[in-house]
Amino acid sequence: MGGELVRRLLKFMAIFLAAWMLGMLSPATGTVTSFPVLAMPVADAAGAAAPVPAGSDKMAQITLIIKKLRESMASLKDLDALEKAGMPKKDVDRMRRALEQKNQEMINQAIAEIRSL
Amino acid sequence: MRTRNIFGLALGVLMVWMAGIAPALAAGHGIRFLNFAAFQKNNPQGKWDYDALVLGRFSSFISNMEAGSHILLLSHTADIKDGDVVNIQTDVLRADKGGKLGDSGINCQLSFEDRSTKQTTSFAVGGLCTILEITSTKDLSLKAIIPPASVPDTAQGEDVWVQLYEDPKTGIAFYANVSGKEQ
Repeated sequence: MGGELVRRLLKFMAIFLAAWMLGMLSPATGTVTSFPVLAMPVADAAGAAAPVPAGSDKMAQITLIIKKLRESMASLKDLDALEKAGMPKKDVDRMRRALEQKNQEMINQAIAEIRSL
Repeated sequence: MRTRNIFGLALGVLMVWMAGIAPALAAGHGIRFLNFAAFQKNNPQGKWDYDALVLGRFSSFISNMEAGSHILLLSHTADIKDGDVVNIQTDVLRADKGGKLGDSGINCQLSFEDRSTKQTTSFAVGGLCTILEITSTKDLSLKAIIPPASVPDTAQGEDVWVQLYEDPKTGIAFYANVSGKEQ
């Protein structure tokens, strides 16, 4: 039981780390911005943009999934407001479970995409 | 002996429940579908206003609304049952020239409740919708809390839609009803 919790926590942390890092990426310039450790240009010496890497489509897809995941996780917090608006707690809890399940699907999808890079 | 008493009590409670509130399908009212629509005013600051109830099936409903608004989404579920959570996403993710992702549209999580009895059907919908307009020039993320509200059953009467929510700033409104076929 405890091991499962730790495993889940680690999984979430890995995704958040990936989301944070990907949030700093700027695909158009080919540079990693606003992230001091990784703030290195990918452009060549002449200043031209680096060739588009083979995995760029996958990166774009991961960025999309993570963006949706972020929004969806933020929505989880807003569900409490529904209870205040008069929705029975059992219904709010059911919605929360459904949303968490969808988030988990997105996490799994993001992990699969990251692994395939 | 005590176990038998508890079993008997539980059976009694179940029978009372069956005679009273029972899901529409179990109560012999047939299959149901949840219909959900979102509109946006052509001019949010204009004089035209939404009605709390609007008549029409699907196309006629949209036509009636076109007097001062345009449709953003129309969703018809593949059946609906008590306790279902409906997830509707119609937002568009778009990368701008700088590579930054924009996000515009509507995301909803709705909870469906079937309060039908053997005599009549009764349904309620509530939930949370996020109205997004995140572009290079705008950053709007509006949370619309929809308290549980009764929605009409068109299978038992008029084709009518009820307004669940309206945001005066964006001019976006949500409408819903339940449709289906009686058994």
